[in-house]
Formats: sequence, structure tokens, C-alpha cells
Amino acid sequence: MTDSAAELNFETSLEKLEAIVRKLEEGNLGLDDSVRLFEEGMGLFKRCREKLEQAEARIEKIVKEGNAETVVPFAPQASRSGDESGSGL
Amino acid sequence: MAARTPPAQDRAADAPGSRYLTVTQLSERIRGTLEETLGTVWVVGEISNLHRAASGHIYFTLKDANAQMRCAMWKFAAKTLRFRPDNGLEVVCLGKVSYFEGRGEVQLIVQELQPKGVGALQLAFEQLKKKLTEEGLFDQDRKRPLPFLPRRVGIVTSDRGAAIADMVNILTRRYPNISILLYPCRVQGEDAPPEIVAGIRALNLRADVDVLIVGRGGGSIEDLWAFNDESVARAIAASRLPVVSAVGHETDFTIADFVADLRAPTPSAAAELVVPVKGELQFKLDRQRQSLSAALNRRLERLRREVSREAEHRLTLLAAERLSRAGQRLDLAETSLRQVLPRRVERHRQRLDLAGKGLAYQAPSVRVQRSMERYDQLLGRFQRLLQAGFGAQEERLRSLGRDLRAASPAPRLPLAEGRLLRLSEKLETAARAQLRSAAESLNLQGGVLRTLDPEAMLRRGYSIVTRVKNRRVVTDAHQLKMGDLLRIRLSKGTVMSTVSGLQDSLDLFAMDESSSLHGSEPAPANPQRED
Repeated sequence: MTDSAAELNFETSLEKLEAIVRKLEEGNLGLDDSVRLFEEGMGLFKRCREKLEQAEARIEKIVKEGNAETVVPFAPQASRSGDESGSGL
Repeated sequence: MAARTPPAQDRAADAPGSRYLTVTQLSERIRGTLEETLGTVWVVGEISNLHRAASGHIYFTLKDANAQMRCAMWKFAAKTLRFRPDNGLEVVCLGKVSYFEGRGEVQLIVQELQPKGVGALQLAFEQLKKKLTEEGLFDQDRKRPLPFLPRRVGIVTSDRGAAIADMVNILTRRYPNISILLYPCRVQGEDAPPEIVAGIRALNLRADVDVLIVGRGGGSIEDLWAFNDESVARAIAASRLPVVSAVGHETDFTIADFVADLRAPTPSAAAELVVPVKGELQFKLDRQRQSLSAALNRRLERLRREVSREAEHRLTLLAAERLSRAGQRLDLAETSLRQVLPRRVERHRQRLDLAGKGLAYQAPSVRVQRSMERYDQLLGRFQRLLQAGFGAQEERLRSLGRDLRAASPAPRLPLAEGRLLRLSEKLETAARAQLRSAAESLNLQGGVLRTLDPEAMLRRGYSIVTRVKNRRVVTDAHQLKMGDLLRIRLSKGTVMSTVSGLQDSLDLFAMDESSSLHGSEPAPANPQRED
């Protein structure tokens, strides 16, 4: 499944970060609050960056051997004129 | 007319050479004749009385306005039907004319069945579309949103050809570290639908796959037919993962496209729909991070200025107060000077007066004395001349008179008096000037007092850190060692603490991966400094 908790997903985190920036820019916050908001914002930034890097860059295909399935690396053929009848398994 | 007499029969009815036919023999002859004469024909008519036997054979009546005929379509032929024959449907059949002896019926054994007017495929498509629409499989609110940032994209398609190559290229170009899992399968022909269904199911079982693309490159309607299959449609509908259909070209619409969560006009378009451009997201993110730092710095700057202003304001009040006190003292000094000096001048003047008066009786200075003597002499001569008579002495008198006037000491008194006054004025000015310079230096001192009022600073969240060992205020982490005892003076109360981490930091709130704001990783006795 995707992210374990809804509030950790990229879109939400980025939106929260944008809201914090706005708040920090326009609000009349004291030292404490300013620093706390900044830290929260940085936390969100780091989380977002982590999310961007989560995908593992593996390109693979499933291969059936009898009833079992294994996963092997896959690279599409360079030729773009191949037929599309399919490989079967 | 006499009835015709049956031919004489001298042997058994079914014996060879018999002149009677049995029913069976006649039936067989009819069948033979029909099959020879007519054989296989194309017939057009309307279906009625359709019956699907459990065996898989289909029986129906083909009729027109004036005639009808029983038809049978055996299972193996019926299986290849792509559309569903129904009563009332106008069809075209290719069938063999036969005679069913057991029932004494002419029958058309149908080998091929086509809807009349519209293509079989087209009809099949319409029929399935209608059926699934009625079931609600195409409803808009069944459609799920795609994940914004999928970690792994599952693809069900052929592992050969342009479609998969294009998809892999586009996916990795937009998002370099995207993961892809392909379930390779046939995408046309009779065997395709079960494989496509298997692919959808298999990828649904993978925990790391977030979204599916199901499709193939362009082709004829027959080529794409597998994606109009009912089982494929149901597998897409039942998929736990959101499915993007990517079949053929822009103008091709298959049942899979209607039931999918999102239709892509082509496989390449599907790759673009399923994954964002990572670079754009990174840019957006970095921009926010910059804005965050900038906003904080601006905020801090404003706070510092506020504190400064507050302190300045207080100091100004303080300095003004002190200056006014100093001013008062200056005023007092000025007042007393003004009172004292005239008195002194007056005293001097009085003495001068006395001295001036005394001049007539005493000889305070030699010059005055000499002038007084000369004056006496001249006065005596003037008197003698006066007694001796006038006349030619008039001129001499006049000149004497002039000499007298020149010799008089009286004009010199104001001069001396004036000089004395000037001197006393100078004294006054000097005294005033000294007071003024004292006041100015006081002003300057007041300016020096423009340090931040500690109280206000503390209340704002700053604290004063002193090293216990030498009771000195710490402003530079270089001054400290691990384990040093610190006293931290807050607005309210004091905290005793021990140094457990040291860090250089030019920007108070610089964030990098290896550090946190309250750096407290255990460090060696002499921590490394980055400069």
C-alpha cells in the first residue's frame, strides 16, 4: 500500500508547508512561535524530500514458472516496431 | 376413378428390391437430396423461440413474413459468437440444410451467425456496454483518484512493442527513481483476456504497487477486441488498485476504457497521467524551503529591531532624565555665575572708583602722577597767563587748552574699566563653556549607554549564558569545552546546565542534515569545527 498514514503524504505535507510559510511571512509572531513554526516547516520539508526519494528505481517484470511467480529485471527492446501480439507466459 | 392399387409385394418391405420405401428410407433420401441440392446456404431472417440448452447448443427458429425454419447451432460454433443472439434480432446465417429424421423436420445447422446490418463485433460491444452500464460499473463515483506520488507502477501489457517501451521511457524521464513492475501478457486473440485478467489480479497482490496501467498499442478493432471482453472489464472493476486504461489510439474506445478509473488516449499518455514530473516538485519544495528561511530571518530581524527600539526608547528616557538633571545643574551654575560675576565686577568697579578718586589725592601709578603734575603745571601757567593779560597769548592759551585736554587722565578710567569688564566677561564665557562641554560629554556618555536593556531582552526569549567557572558571560561557543557548567539566566529564574554539544553556526537557524537546532550528539573532547 502507499503511505501508512494519510497525513504523511506528499501533497498534504507540501500544502502544510506552504501554509506555514504564509503564516510566518504575514503573522506577528513572537520569537518562540516563529522558531517553532520554522522547525515544523523544516520537518515537513524533510518529509517531502524523503517521499520524493522513496521510489526505488527498479524496472522489473513478473515471470511465471509453473505456479510460481518470480520477478526479474526488465528492459524494453530498443526497437519500436515490434509486434504487439504479446509474449505469453 | 378407381383407387390406385399398391404394387404387388412379394418380399419383405425392407428387403432389397422392394418397391415400398420405409419411412426411414424416405427420410434418408430426403436428407440426402437436400444436402446435395442445397448444401450450405446463407439465409437471412429473424430469430424467435431462442433456447440455450445446458449442453451449450442453441436452438431457434429463423423466420420471415411467410415461412419459418428450425435452426440449431452446436456448442463449438456457438462458442465463437461474439454477440448475444436474442429473439427479434435480424441475422444472417451460414448453415447446412438438413433433415432431422427423428422429428421429421427440416433443420438448418448454423455454422456462422451474424447480426444483419451492423457488425457482430459492433453489436457485441453495444450489448456489453449496455449491460455493464445498467450494472453501474461505469458510474463516475466508482472511479477512484490516482495516487499523487506512486512508488511503483504496475503495467499489464505485452513486453514487446512500442507501447511498453514508450511507457517505460516516459515514466523514467518524468520521475527518474520510479519503480515499474510489468506483467507481460498477450494483448490480442482468444487467449488474451484470461491473461490480462491474471495480470490485473497478480499485480493487485503486490503490496508495493500503487497504480495499474492496462493496455496496448494501436490496432484494428479485432486487435483491440480483448479489451472489450467482459471478464477483463470485471477484473478492472474489481481491482483494489486504481486502473488507467491505455488501449490503442485517441479515437479507440473499448469497454476497458469505460470501466477504468481513468482513460488514457494512448499508452504514452497513461505514463504522463500516472506520475508527476519530479523536477517540478523538487523546485516547488526548494522554493518553499527558501521562503521559510527568509521569512524566519525577516521575523527575527524585526524582533531584534523592536527590542532595539524599545531599549533605545528607554535609554533615551533615562538619558533625557540625566541630561535634564545635568541641565538643571548647569542652569544653577549659570544662575550663580550671573549673580556672582556682576557682584565681583561691581566690587572691582567700586575699587576702581575708589582708586579713581584716590588718584586725585594719591599717586597710584607713575603715569597718572606725572600727568597730574603736568596738569598742575599747565594749570598754573594758564592762571599766570590769565593774570598777565590776554592778547597775543590767546593762541598760546588755545594750544595750552588743547594740551590740557590731552593730558587729562579722566578718559583713561573708562578704558581701564572697559578692560576689566571684558576680562570678567571672558571669565564668564569660559566658565559657561566648561559647563557646556561637561554637559556634552555627559550626552556622549548617555549615548554609550545604548546597550540593550537586559530586562526587555530576557522577556523576549533571549537568555544570558554565563560560565560558572569564571562567572563570565559566554557569547562564543569556542570559549567552551564539553562538560562545562553553565548558568543560564532566563527572564524568570535560572537554569544550571552542562555543555553536551558544541557547534559553529553563522546563521542562527541554518539547517543541514547532520545537525539539529539543539545539537546534542555526543562529541569528542575537541569537536571538529567546519569553517
